[in-house]
Amino acid sequence: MGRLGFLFQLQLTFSEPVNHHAFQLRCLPKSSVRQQVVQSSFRVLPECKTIMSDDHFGLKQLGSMITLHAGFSVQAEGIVDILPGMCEKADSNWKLGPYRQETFLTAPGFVLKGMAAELPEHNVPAAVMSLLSDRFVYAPGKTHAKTTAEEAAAQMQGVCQDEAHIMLSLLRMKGIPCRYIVGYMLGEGSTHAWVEVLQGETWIGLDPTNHRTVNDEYIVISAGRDANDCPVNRGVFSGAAEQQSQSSVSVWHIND
Amino acid sequence: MTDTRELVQHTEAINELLARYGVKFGLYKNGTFKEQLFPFDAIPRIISADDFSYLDHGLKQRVTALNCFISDIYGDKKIIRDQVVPEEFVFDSPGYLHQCEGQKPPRGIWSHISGIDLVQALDKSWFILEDNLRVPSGASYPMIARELCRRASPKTFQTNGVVDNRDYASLLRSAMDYVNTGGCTVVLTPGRYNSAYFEHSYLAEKTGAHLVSGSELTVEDGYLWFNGYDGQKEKVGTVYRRISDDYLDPLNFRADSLIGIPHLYDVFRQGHVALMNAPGNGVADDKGIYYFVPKMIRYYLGEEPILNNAPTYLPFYKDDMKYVLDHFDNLVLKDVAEAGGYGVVFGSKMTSQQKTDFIALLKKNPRRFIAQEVIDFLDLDIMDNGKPVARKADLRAYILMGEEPIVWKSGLTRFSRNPDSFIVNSSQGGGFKDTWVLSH
Repeated sequence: MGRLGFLFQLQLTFSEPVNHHAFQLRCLPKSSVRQQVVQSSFRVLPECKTIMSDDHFGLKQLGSMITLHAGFSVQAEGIVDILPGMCEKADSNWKLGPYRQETFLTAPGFVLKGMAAELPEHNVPAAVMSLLSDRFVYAPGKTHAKTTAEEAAAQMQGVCQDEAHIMLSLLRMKGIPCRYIVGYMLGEGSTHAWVEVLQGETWIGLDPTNHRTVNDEYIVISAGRDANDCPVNRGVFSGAAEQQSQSSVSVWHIND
Repeated sequence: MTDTRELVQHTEAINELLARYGVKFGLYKNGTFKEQLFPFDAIPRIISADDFSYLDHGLKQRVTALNCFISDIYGDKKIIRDQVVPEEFVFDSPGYLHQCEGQKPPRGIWSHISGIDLVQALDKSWFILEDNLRVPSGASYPMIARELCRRASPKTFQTNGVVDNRDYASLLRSAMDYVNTGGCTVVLTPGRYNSAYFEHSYLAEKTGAHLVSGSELTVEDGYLWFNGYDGQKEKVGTVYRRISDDYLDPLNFRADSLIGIPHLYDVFRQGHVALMNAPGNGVADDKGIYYFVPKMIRYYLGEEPILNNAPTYLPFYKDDMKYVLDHFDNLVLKDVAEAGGYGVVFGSKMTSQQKTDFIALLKKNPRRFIAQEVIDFLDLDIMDNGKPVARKADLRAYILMGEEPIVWKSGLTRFSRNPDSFIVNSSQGGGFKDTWVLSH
């Protein structure tokens, strides 16, 4: 069994003070068959009441800050036990329709359809992982949060979100149910994205960015059809301010 | 026989009053906002007691099945397991909201107010044209028109045995109260530039609900609050929302919505407020899903449908595609993603170039269209410069769901003013009539 500690930090800076800032954060893990949350805590600054909620995608923290503030910071930390070799059980096959349908972000165009045509009939997920590992160049700054799978595939550059979207698009064209995962990975960095693929009756985690199967170094935060379902931070506020956002994640082994 | 001659003489006066009361609808055309009057024709559509009883049974059955379907889709999905409805018609539909998976609205009601559009054919048989479950509008028009007609010609209503339709507000209020989670009732409007603003204010007044915009509602401590004019906060138990799902809550739906309320959806999901109609219910009123409604009635209720669909083909199925191509000129084609009379084309009215282009599009994206036989409508008379002329018309029936479904004994009859047009939507320049249900 692997025990992991995690720390997530988010800092929002507004170009001028804002108020009536309502936010929704998805940054705490939920216990499942594969991960057991031992402890977790959450706070925001300036201080404000938050409530924990739960939906189809995972846990979320909700709150509203009424008074003026020029900065907003979030800190989430905790300890998670990852149970070796365990995968989350999927719903019955007829309930997986949403994970078979392409979305706006994964809808294939000319480029992705061409790539799908090159794929073998068997071991499709492994073939997609190899294809991305061979051709996709990890290049931050070349894409943005709303880049579609087709746009990313056309330039074969981007970040983990783009690789996950391309993989989802290709798998769905082959009729394989799959979902988008946001989570944390061992080490220092930022939030990570990968894919879960239906295999038999379970969801198997595959990380195309690191070309490997998800193991006990990963903490799942949220799951959906694409990145739109799982944003770490969503907020609205009053004020004509520009918002700058910086986040960091660190995950470490805890030996006991 | 009913006698409407005296009433019809007052048409002009009634229209003037309607204009004064602000019975208008707004339209965005070429980027500018224009308000249009909704012309009223005083010759009513008359439905006999027997005919209404038939419609009543059929509509209750249909709306009950639709509610079962929505519950099933966001829950067990048995209708998909049993291959009655193909999953691509559900999960790919713009009305399906993945956010609503696992959602359980108060008292299990998803469509509190349903507007079901029907037409009557030449042989007097009725056909369902379309189901409207999202935020069906229009009930206020026959309500106020009846009010004014009664004032203009009281005798007409003393002698003709017309069932009073002024109970709509109390039916609506009962439906609001039935799902109320504890608190006041509000009608949430996007504001006065919305095409149905008259209706929002009228229904709020008649039901005794607060008429509010998004900025007057806030979420705090997991509940929804109305910030009253006196500075007091009042907990809200029912929101009759007249803004679409997409704009309801910028944190759960469209992020760019300025008229929504952050966290509203979370409060609803927790069971701390009722939203009527429930978000996500558009999955059942998609034009593509329409085809499957008779199957739903058999599947969920084990009954034969009382009211029929207009004969409909899904080019998605090979046999239907062949039929559509073979009978193209006899059919009307509808884009499933459009509403309000947009995206409707008649095979017979296309030039050969348009036909070629359309068929190419249809073959490329068969899921996007349905095709229907053109029904020979039973035309209704309207007054045109003092003379009666026959025009196409449809009927929107309103079904309110509380403890039991109730069909309102009236409805909105819309007609096309253009003699060549089959499209009666108000956004396409049509007018409306009162709908009389007779007590005999």
